[in-house]
Amino acid sequence: MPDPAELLAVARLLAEGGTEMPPSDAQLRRAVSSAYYAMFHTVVRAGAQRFMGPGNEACPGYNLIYRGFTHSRLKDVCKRLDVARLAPRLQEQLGRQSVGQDMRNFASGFVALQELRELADYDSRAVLGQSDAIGSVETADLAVQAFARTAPEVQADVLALMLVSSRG
Amino acid sequence: MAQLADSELTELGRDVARQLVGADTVKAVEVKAGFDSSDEPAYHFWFRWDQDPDWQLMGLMRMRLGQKLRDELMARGDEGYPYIHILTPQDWEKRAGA
Repeated sequence: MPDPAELLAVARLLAEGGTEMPPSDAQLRRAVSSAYYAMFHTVVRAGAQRFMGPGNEACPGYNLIYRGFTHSRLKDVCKRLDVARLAPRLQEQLGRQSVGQDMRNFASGFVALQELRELADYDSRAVLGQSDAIGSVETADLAVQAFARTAPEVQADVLALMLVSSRG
Repeated sequence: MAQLADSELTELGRDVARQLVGADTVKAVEVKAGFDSSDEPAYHFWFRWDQDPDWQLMGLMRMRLGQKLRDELMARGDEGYPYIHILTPQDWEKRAGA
């Protein structure tokens, strides 16, 4: 199972490079991508554990929920959470006016890194530097910590929103 | 959706950077309007970090600058999402030379 802490450690190693040679373009791109995936797997793991219950990692339902989260849906929800005051429809869905600073920090970090990861993984013209790579690792680290500090009831409601497209 | 002119966006970026990190730390700002990978309106803001790199602080500032710019843009009726890039002078030059 992907371990967010290991992904973050790998990202850091790649971004920092060796002592004599600066990191290559491939290392920088993989660092950005791994930092993003540390955040992604933090969310999907939290969702699967929340909705299947702890200790059920071997159950088929755990993997179904794990695979049920999509990058595009997560980004869409995070964009809508990255506001000072939630839009009326979101307030109605979540039963609150805001999700708190920690969840907002996670949301803004997630959107930023998903976009940078798109460039790192797919854009041949993208020019990435060590600032992008190490900055991504630090942003991901802070965002993962912020997510962990989020109140459990807020986290559960946001995870449900990330997993399910509601109608009406 | 209201869309700010490039000069207004650059000035907004400068103002926000001045408020959050100080004028001595960020001495250059560039902005490019367009669309993100989801085909939604977006702004890419580049900030040149002119102090010794403090990576953790730079990571935090990516969030803070992004949130502040998002709030400022939304207050002006602009739904474009701000993406933040904080670069050392070396990476700033690397980008400019590409």
